[in-house]
Amino acid sequence: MAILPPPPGTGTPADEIPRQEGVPRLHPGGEGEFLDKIESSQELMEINMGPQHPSTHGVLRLVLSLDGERVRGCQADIGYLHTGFEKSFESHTYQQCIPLTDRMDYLAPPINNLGFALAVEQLLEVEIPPRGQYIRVIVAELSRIASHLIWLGTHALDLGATTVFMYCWRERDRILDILEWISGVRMMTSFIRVGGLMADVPEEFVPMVRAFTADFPARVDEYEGLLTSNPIWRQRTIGLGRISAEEALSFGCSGPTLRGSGVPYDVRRAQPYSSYDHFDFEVPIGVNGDVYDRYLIRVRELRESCRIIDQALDGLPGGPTNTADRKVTLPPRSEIDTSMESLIHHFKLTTEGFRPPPATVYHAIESPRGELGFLMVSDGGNRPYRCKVRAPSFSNLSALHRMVRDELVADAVAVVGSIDITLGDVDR
Amino acid sequence: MAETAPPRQPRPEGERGRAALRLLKRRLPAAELEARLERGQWMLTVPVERLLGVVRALSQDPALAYEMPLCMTCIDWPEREPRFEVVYLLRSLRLNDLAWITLRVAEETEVPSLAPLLPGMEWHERECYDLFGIRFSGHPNLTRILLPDDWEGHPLRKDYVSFGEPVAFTHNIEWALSSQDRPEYMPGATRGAVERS
Repeated sequence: MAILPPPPGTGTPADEIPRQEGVPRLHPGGEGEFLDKIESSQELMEINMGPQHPSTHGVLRLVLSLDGERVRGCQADIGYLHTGFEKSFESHTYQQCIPLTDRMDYLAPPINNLGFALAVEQLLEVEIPPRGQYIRVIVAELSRIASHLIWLGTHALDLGATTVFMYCWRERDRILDILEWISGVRMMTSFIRVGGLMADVPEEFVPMVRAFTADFPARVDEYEGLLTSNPIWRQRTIGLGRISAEEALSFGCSGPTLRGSGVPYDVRRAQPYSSYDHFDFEVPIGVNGDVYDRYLIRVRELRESCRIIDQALDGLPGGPTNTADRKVTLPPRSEIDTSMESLIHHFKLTTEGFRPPPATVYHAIESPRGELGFLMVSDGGNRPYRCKVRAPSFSNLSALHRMVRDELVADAVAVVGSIDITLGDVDR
Repeated sequence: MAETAPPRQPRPEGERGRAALRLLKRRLPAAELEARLERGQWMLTVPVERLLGVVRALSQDPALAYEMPLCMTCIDWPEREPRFEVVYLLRSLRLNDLAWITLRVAEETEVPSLAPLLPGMEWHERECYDLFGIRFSGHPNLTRILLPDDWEGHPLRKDYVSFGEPVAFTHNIEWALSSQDRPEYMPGATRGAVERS
């Protein structure tokens, strides 16, 4: 477990941040209600930030209560992107739900596919072959890099560093090229399916990914050269938007938002899925729980993801990618011409899908934003009876009012950027 | 990494939630606790009035520390009595474990809110109220969170018709269209036949 050295010049650890007198620790009257307990120097002014605001990264409306330029209260108004995925799941067969999951956290679609597929596979008690698991890991880590790159680019852009944005999109485009090569689609790939993958990867896949991972660490050095020790960047981010480990936990934060406060919780390490226990990687954690620590963690994660991909490519086994259970995955095309059984399976799977036994499961994976869980209830039918998505951005955003409290209004932008929300993930 | 992939280790099939079960067995009379093991996870059903005590014990016991509110949600079983199953998921980082607490509640039952205890539950309870209409007593701000405030109904209930618009066919035209929207002549009728007769 790597512990980052505290960046020089950062003040006290998050636990020792002095708290304002009379501000209760845990939320007695809903967010924003601590306002009247603070003696304000002047009348508070309420302003809307969003929903049409470039740095809310989607359609998020924040109602900020300002005392001069200080934020004294913050209420998040969400739901502008509510699409009712959980209702839609109930009227689609399991395999038809995969394209819907793409559109939840639209910055890392394959990771949503993976979470959904693993939950259904747990219902079916099916395990897919090692080659499929390794390719899933490679694709998931590529999309984690892509997601972190968008975060880094837009977060830096919010704070005025435009160059990083261009660099990040350059690298992300190479990842989208790889995804397009294996699935035909650049963003909403639906590549990871229940029971395995859409198809085995083409032979160009390994050299393409190798070429990417060979260049990528040097590119991360480039971003870090622009930001990590840049005095403007450090002044804008160090000591800002702090949250203590205890408080982050009590709000159910996960991912870099929780690890920034020093809690080494990563689902890939705590409950390894899809062969993550075969790879050697570090879980970077922060010390101060501020915007700068969350930045350092994600940059470290870019390098760790790159290492995982390299290891998965080194050990990439041969063999099939999909489970041999013909009740779950489609038979190969060639078999359909010769085997009546296969033709029947193909027909049954494409018309009505498979029927998992009645059960209730919860399966969690580590998305770029934190713990993404699927609570899946099957009643024995061919559609999920109920599928609850435990979205990491939703819980992380619910702690926002704690992080922006008493910060400057201009810094609220930096804090919102640092928790890396996707509104598609918050609203579902 | 070795040249070839190591053989896959079988998933460690420990029983998740066993520590929570052991604690609740000590705290609750046997008649009030219902436990079943499903796919390696202990699912514990407790009476509604015990919820606060149970969650307080689980989250504040220093050895267990189920203190991370993962999520809470509801499952609607219209044919069952009582109708709703409310599920709370609490994670313990200390034990690397998941506690699964279930309540069975009827439509009119008020569930005590966990928001004062675990602030992370506040938004999840609002979502549950919004989409299922479960009411939480003691919640600081029980309003809709995802849908507009003037929305009618609770969409994730099984009896909520979520989409589709009436399409008029000859067999259902009475149902699909109001009388002034209906065509003057039905297909198959001879135009002008009404006037002639």
